[in-house]
Amino acid sequence: MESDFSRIEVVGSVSRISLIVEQMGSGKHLEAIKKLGITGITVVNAMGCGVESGSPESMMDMVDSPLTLLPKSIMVIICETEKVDDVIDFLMKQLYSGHIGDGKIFVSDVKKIIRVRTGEEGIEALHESKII
Amino acid sequence: MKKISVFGAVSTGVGMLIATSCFISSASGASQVGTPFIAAILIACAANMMAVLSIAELNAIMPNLTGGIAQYTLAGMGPMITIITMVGGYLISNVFAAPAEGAMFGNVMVDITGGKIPSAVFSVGITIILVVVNLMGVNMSTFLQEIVATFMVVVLFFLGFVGAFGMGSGEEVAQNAVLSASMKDVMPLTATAFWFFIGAEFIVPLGKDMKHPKQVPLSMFLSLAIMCVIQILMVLGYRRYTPWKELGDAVSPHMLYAVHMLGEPGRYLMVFIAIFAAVSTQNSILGSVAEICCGMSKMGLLPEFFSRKNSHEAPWAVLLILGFLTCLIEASGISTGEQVSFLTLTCSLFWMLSYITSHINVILLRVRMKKVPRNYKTPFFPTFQIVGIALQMYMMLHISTDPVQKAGIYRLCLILFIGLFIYAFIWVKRKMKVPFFRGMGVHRVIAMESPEYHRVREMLRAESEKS
Repeated sequence: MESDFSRIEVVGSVSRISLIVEQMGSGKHLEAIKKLGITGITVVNAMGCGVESGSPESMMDMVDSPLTLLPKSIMVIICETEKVDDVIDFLMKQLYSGHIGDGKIFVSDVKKIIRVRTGEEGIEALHESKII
Repeated sequence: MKKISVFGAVSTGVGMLIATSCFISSASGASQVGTPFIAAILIACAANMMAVLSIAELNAIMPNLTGGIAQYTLAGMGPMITIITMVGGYLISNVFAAPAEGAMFGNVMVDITGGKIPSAVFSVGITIILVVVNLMGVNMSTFLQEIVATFMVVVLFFLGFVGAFGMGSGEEVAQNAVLSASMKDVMPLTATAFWFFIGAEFIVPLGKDMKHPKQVPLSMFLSLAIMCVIQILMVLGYRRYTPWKELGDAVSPHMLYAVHMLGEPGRYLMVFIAIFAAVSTQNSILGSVAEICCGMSKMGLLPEFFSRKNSHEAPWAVLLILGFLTCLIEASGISTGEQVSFLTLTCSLFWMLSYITSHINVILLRVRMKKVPRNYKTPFFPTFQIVGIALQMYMMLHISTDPVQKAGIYRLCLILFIGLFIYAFIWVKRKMKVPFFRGMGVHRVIAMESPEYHRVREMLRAESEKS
């Protein structure tokens, strides 16, 4: 059975993720984000590489390039499952530059959400608390 | 950095579209059928609006590229088609467009000076000045472009409006508005009207500095619509103030119209317009073609010296080649309407081919890269692409209503295409060493934009040759 909530993780270069977070916080995207039901974003800095083994774009198609870990960022968004497609569409349009390093998006189920401070669960835990 | 507004982008677009050589086209079209030429203007405008929709979508899938349509074609259709259509479409067609504008400027100056100095002296002179200015790295800023374009739009709109509604001080001519309403006569004139609407795609490189990418197609659309309104008003104005026959035979139809409508003040107003238009159009051509050739050189489609820049960061080789060829054509003494029309129609034919290529690219990339996110997508795909290709092909087949001129244009194009084919074949086989007709892919073409991509390959090639 499909879960009511999903976790969207975007793994990409630090610059791309920083840019999208900056854009999402700017006025022109705030309205769109509200509509999509995104109530929070978490960014984790990490090291990693993708299918290009960490080699730069200029070295594409070159064989035997050594595996290099590069600074990456992981952006985590939890949202309602029914809005996942819209959120992904929004993120893809923002992330797309056509260059290697635009990132990858992973979607997984979230079984339960609990706000520790109030004990609220599910959708209530995602949105502003109603408990004073 | 300050973002470019829709107004700024439209100014650039209109600045590219407005050229005094347009008056030769409008005079030629209107003198043949009268006011029904408006139908041809509307159809040509619609055809080019479809083309810019496709170009906007290609820009959305491959943003911030310097080579424009050439790079989109390289990604979709491979190097052979790219070199033939794009080197032809842009480099060669602009070699014809620049002298056409210079000739119009020369004609106006001859009119003012009383014919003491030949037209070629003025046209070659202005080209040399602009080449030197560009070589010194002096670019017209967007702000200056906005001022020039706004001035031109306002004055041309004023001239069209005053003429269309009979508000001029000159005497109105009693003549039939309609010389022929037959579609058989009107439709082939769409190729003549096409010349009014080329160049709106030069807004695309501004996209990266605009507030929203969706403003790119909007700006291109608005530029074309403004030009369409101006040309329609002009045709209505011709009907009132210039006898059709006299209009068709005129060397400077814009001067004739302005003088008939406003008397001597019209003449001086037109001199201002001619100077502004010649400077603005030739300068835009030199600047944008140099930029596009640099991009094509970076892609390895043109020899490396095309992208070499001088200490002022100006691509000197392209500027000198373009300037030399422009001066050469101008010095040959082109001045009559027929000669200018030959140049503009030949240029149009190459441009039509590049628009067809853009439509095909959109279709190919929609099939191959269906899921790639696009900030802009052409609505009702593939309707506009198919109709756009059909209209452009129709215009190519009816490039001129004069059979002798048509044969001359086809002959010249055939010779140029054969030359381009030979160059493309040798260049792709010996230098690029890639399949002739296989698209190189979007991500590879984007990567090729970086000089690092070519430096790494050059280094590896040198290493392997050494070993």
